Amino acid sequence: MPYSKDILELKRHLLRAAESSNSYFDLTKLIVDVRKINDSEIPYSGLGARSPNDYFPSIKIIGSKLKTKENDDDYTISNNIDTSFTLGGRYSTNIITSDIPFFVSGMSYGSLKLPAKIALHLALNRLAKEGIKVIMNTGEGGALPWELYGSEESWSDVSKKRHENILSYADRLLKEHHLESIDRDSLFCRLYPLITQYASGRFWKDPSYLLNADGIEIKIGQGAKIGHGGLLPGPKVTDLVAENRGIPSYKAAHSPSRHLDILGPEDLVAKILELREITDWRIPIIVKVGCSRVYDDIEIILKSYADAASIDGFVGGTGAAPWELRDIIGINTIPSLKPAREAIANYYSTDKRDEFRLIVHGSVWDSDRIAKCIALGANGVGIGTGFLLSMGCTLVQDCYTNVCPAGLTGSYEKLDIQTSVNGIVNYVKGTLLELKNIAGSVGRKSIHDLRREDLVSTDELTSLICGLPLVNGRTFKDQLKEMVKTVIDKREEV
Amino acid sequence: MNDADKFIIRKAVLELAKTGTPRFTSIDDDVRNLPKVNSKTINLWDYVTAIGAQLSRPPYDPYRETISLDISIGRKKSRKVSLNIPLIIYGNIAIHHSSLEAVHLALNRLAEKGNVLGLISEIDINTIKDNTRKYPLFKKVSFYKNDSLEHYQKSCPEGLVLEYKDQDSLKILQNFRKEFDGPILVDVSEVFPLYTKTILEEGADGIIVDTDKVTKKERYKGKHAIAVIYDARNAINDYYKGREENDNDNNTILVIAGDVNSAGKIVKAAALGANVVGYSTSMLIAHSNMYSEKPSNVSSIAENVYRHMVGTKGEIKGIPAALGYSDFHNLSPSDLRTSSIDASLQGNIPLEGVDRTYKEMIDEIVNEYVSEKGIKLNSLETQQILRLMVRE
Repeated sequence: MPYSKDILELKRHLLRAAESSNSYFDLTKLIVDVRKINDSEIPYSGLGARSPNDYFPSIKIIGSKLKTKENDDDYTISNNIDTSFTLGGRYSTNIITSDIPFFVSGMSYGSLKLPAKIALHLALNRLAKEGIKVIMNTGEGGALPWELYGSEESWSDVSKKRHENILSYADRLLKEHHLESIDRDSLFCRLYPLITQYASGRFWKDPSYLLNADGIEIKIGQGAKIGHGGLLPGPKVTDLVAENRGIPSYKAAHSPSRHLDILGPEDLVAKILELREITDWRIPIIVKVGCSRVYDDIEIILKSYADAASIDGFVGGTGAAPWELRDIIGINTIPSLKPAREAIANYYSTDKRDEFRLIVHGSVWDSDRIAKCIALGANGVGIGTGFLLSMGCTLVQDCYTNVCPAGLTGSYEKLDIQTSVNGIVNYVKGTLLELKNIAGSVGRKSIHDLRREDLVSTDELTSLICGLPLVNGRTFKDQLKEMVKTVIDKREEV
Repeated sequence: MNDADKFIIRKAVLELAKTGTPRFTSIDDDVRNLPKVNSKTINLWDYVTAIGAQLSRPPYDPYRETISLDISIGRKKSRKVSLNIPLIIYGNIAIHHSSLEAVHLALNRLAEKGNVLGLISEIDINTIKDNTRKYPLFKKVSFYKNDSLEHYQKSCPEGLVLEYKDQDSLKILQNFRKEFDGPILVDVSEVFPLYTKTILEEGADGIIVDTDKVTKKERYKGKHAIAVIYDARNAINDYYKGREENDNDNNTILVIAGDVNSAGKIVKAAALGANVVGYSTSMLIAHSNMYSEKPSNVSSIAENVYRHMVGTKGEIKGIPAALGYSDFHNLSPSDLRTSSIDASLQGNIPLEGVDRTYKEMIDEIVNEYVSEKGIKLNSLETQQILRLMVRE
């Protein structure tokens, strides 16, 4: 963000005062203090928290390769690797099918500018035409007209007046962003599965938001701001964003920190049953929580009528979150997987545990990390920042402002839609190939066949938390047991 | 993620986005191969997080519900001093008179808006032009001076802060306690962790521990503020062990100063056992004006301090709400998790994912082995083995 001269001067003076007084000062937080001095507001930041230890680099997939040569035996195997992902069927009659085990996490219109949303839509359509179906989550800010009305059936029950209103809103959206040249027919065509988010803000105006979706995600919380509702700063709530969400323009949209009608397990059951009735039990329902008391939360979700649970780790991204809150609340993705899996294993006494899906988000950007999550028990992985990066995100973390160097969350005119579409398509294809190579190179026929046995830990803490063996083949807990034995036996000898 | 991580991640994804073909190495391989960060730059606070409220415990909403930050200082016999924000402005820096004046004006303005927080000052507020004070002052007393209590009472302080140096300090505490009915806080940073029990027995209403000073002492060499706060809270808890529960004397305050200069650290310190934080950033903001080429007038510096504190209050309210508390003072060590064995050992904080402290895990392994082998250990022996295992 281009800070004003005053702010930069304040920062310089504060830094000099801290240095001269030899008082310890967290330099990374200096800008937080300066921003509070400037406007007395709680400073926001974008994307995910800074975790000094997210465990991923301390885990290795034994013998895995991202790239294999064409004449390599593995390559032939890799071509036949199953990477599909299904969602639903536990209670829903419909099942969503995706050709890859990762999908686009919730990033709403408002948080992302329209060209970025259109790029995602067009890229996913292109991938679907090429035989790679990728799921997209709308985020909590409502869906765009072409996402909800992207098929002929979706228009069947729409009145003429409503039809006109929807097209008029779409026209105004495109006009405001100087995108009138986009072909309406190709835009109003959705070939990929869409999950709409049912968050505490309830930013949607009619039942089509639920009825025209392929899946519904009840968002209890997200990794970047656990226990804090969604947030879209006032300057980003333009007239058209406000119209889509049904809220006043240019006023910050603070969603309540909890669903006012979901205060406990019974309320969650009631809410899911309500949504089941509305959607005639067709649509898969996911419940998303930020990673904190993972075991307890998953246990509650399992006992509700949900088809899947989604957990979002500490590093999970956001368009805007109070900086300090984002950086202190939550636990990392990797340590959350074990309690989540334990809750599922304890719930199911039979082999039916595969009907319940566990999706993880947070600090997952590439195939290696996706594979590690799957080996540790995830069925699917949600990616947000990775898709932004493929569109040119520079990780400046000013997503809460209207100024984004890449034109994704602000300065939308900087974004070239076609380049972004190509970036997304390549990112998905490349990651998919890498995933196939990883599974193939460790001798698995399906990416979902990756197991904990395929992993080793390179540090003691990761071994202790994940129960993985260290490179010497023994877990750190086993080594500790050995040490205890030595210490006690020595004492006995004395 | 730090800048190096950001560079690697962006580079890796951009390579994929450009070519659409597999890479040779993963992000994690590249991150792993980065040069190790100097351990001096590691701050254990970064490895400690709090667990938020979700389904199993609903969060509060700081924008729509009341989150209490109120605290009262003073044990049963003392006059109580109430704060609406659990912070006392505290500075280790030699502050200019105009800077103190700015802090004074800011605190007055905050108090007018119902945000009362305290100030610890050695400098006399009476010399400030507009000395009408609307916030509680804790007058700092140096034990080396032989001034009488009357000398300190000239500024009509609501409380006193005594710096504990040696055994003579105790006598002065005893004398002042007899005559002064407001809260007396004793800064034990120079002698910590010794004498805490004695000081509390002599009627101190709380102790102040400056983590920056304590971690420079030989005893705490290599330790972090986390260890200091943990020990300080235990010292107070030990004082209450064996005492009657209903004698209404459970209001001893632990004030933590030093490396607690952000809202996140304030919340973590509170969860570890701090009741009030000695906050130095306001002083630093006032003092930073001295480095300006065109120094501002006192009222604009006061405005800076004021605005900063309003923002900080918003942060301090928001975090407990997100953890599921309507009262800041309900935070407890069970709300914290860590991703570092060192932090777990120093602050007895549960490791994330396993929800047990490192010590508890070792304890479990020891007990398992002992019961398996039928060995009998007394508590001292168990402690010794634990110490050996955690390399204390």
